[in-house]
Amino acid sequence: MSANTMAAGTEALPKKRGLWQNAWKRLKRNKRAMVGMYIMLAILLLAIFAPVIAPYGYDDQVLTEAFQSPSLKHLCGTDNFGRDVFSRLLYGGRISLTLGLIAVALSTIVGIIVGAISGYYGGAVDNLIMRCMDIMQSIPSILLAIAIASTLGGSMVNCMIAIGISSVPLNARLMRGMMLSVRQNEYVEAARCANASDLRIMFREIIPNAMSPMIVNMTLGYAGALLNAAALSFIGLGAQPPSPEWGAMITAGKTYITRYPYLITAPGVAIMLTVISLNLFGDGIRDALDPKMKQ
Amino acid sequence: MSQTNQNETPILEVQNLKKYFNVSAGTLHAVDDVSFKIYKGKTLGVVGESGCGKSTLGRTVLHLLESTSGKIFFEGKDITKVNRHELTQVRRDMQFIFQDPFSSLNPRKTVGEAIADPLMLLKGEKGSQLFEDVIRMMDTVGLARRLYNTYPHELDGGRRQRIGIARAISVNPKFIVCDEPVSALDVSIQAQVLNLMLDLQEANDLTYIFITHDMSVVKYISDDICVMYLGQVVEKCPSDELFANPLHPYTQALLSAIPLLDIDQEVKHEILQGELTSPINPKPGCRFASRCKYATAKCKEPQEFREVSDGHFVACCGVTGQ
Amino acid sequence: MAKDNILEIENLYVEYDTDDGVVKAVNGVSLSLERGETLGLVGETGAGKTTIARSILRILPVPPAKVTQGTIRFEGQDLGKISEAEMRKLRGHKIAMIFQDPMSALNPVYTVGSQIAEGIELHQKVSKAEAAKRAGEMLEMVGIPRERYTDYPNQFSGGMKQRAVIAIALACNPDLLLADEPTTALDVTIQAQVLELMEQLRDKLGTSLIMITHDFGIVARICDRVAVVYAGQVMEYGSKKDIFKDCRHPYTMGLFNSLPKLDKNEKRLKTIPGLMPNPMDLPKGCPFAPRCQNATEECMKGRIEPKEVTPGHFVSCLYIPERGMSV
Repeated sequence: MSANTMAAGTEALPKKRGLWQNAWKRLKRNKRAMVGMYIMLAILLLAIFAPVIAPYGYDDQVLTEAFQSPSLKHLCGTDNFGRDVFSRLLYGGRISLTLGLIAVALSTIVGIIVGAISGYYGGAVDNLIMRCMDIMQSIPSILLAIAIASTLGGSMVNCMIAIGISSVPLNARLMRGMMLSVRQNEYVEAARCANASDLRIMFREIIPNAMSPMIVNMTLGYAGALLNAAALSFIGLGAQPPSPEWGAMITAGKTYITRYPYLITAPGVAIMLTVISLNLFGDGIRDALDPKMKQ
Repeated sequence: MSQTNQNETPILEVQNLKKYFNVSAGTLHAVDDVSFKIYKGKTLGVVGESGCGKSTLGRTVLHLLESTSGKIFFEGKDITKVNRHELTQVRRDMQFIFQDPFSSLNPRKTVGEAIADPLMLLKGEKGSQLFEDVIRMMDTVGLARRLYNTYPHELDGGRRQRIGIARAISVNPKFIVCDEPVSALDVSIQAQVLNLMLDLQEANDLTYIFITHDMSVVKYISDDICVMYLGQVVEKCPSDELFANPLHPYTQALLSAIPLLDIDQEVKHEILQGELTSPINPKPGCRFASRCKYATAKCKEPQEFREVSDGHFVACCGVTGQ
Repeated sequence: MAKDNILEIENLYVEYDTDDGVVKAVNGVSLSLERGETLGLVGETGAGKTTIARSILRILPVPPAKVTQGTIRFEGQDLGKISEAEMRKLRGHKIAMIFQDPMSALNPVYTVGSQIAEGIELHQKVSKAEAAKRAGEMLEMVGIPRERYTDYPNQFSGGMKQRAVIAIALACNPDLLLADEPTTALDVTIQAQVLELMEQLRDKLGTSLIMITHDFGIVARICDRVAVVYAGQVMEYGSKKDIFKDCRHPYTMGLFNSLPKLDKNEKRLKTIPGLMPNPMDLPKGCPFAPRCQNATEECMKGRIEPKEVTPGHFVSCLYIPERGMSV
């Protein structure tokens, strides 16, 4: 074949459309997922542009204006130190959302590696890893997180690590299950025929096909991580005052729950909105990610 | 045909190959003491019903499964035990075409990427050389170039099977095991793929093991045919001979069970009773005996796989040689 | 047709509404089946065979499926007009269906016997004990010992499962049996057993049968009349002899030529070039025209009505050859 015909023939090759593009197309048709995504985007933008949007600093104390009910001046009222709750919420979003993201990323990455090794090699390796995961899972994840956080000491970073590690078993187990079912496919054997190494088979053939439940789990896990972080902060093991982390804000507001309920309602609603929007979005992603889905 | 090749080295020789699996109920004899030779440019058809071990045989020959015992020679060289480096060479010479065009392709790889894999991993090709070879392979198997960037799930079974064929032949192998490559395809597509495989065999002097359950397909494509039953080869002979003169009772039953296209022919179906059981801890002796109408006490003894006429082997004590 | 037709399908159109567009699965199919006859519906994947069978039983998934036009008459009764309750009485009792995959057609948590008895009890209004007795008889009739009545489906082999499925379908002695690729999942020797059984039972019970298959060998073996379906249309329709000894449609001939034959030594098979048309974007005229050697512009202009070439033998083609092909 001459070079000319080759060039002529290949010019007309249509562009590669990524599977993500197709998934995005399907996702766009899902109204609920899109609502979730827009709420999430709004929350993200509010948190990112907090310094621009927030009318006050998160730590500006005006003691004469303590415990003010929501008004035009203070959209969500003020707390016991006269700090503007709305501004604190915006700044707090930066902390809470980052915390969730890092915790989820940590647990997903560790989970994928552990689960993939366990599922791919099977046998004794699998047994050892899975029994360790069983032990971790036999402790309620929040207790485990508390244990880890209190060992490491209460700080934001330790809180992320604690939450991340406590949800590794779930991700590892999910990955292992996917690994076991995906490796049954003939294309794994076909890759072996093409001389692919174990690592290549794991990372190029199996894991990409096992990812969609992992990604869904990430969005759902994000919501869980946020709640756990709030809980840790609530018992004083997470963000420390005056940090406006949402969980910490609830902790601070709990003293005044009967007289000034808006102090915990505002961060509570923020957490709830984030969790709901992520769950809606996660459900949508699950449906959109199946490459075989045509409808 | 067998006489002309007597002096030649067979491209593949399998001696007493066994593949056992340990299952909860005992030892499953998936491939039990199978021996055969294939000469260059020929096709050996392997037929049998599901569970007879024909797929396991193909996979064991290609080192996709490790054999339990026995020997495999490729071009006279013993490849029964290979290290990682030797395995690369084996994979370059011997390839596999899979049955299910729906599960044998990674749904997340485009047609181009799927065909590029073996070229990249076995021949170390990259860049424009790789791209040109992928395009050339697509032309060879009749895949339109515009499909380069499509995903398998967007294609029909016939086209998907062409991708599988392109992957297998891309590294210029000498020998290909085809595991039911057309059984998932429609009649008109099946004929296209069969013709393609024959064209490729002629052009590249390929040798095939063609595994199938379809007797008319195996007759069309094979030079020699092995009939397998519960892990063992019960009859082996040139293709025409098998259909003209089947000797083993199982082969006879198998042939008479095929619904024919001839509507005038008096139906004389010899209905085989019972079903295939799985060969877990089998007793010595003929495994077909329990379903065989000619079974005698002698069938309880191990059966010898012997040549009863030129090139016609059968494992049945009831068959007398000429 | 004044004959005693148990089933008449007239000008049936079925569509599936999907996100990507409308799939035209069945496009103007007319068929009739005489009482006691066996009709073979042959065609490739996506030809609409299963959709036809499902629309007879009214078990199409609605939506996305929709019967847009046409009537189906069973024993003179328009199945499109009766209520769901009346239809339920027909299903299983007068019209029964055997599905392709025996592995998934049986419920794994009930015994095989009770699954046969269930239908009898439901449709024939008999006592539990009587139903169980008849179910046992059915098992024996399909060649399974009565002792296995209390076995669960996973204790059965593939062939036995399909026999059990046949027993369930025939338990109420239906007038019409729809068999959708009943032997495709089975090995040849088991297929031969099951076909033999179906043939015997059909003759014994006088059941009319529609056999959906892609295997011409099965058609040759078991059918009286044959309809060759392509892209939701009947290309050729006639007696078994018409199709096998005198086939006239280029698609039928192409299919026969594509089959490797046991009694011939061919160097290469004659293939039909190209692929099935996209059911969302069917050609305007003859759906086979893009793959047909004889096709002209005329073929693309509009729907091609079947012509009766010899009594009872219909061919939907503009260029019907004078003499047909024999296999």
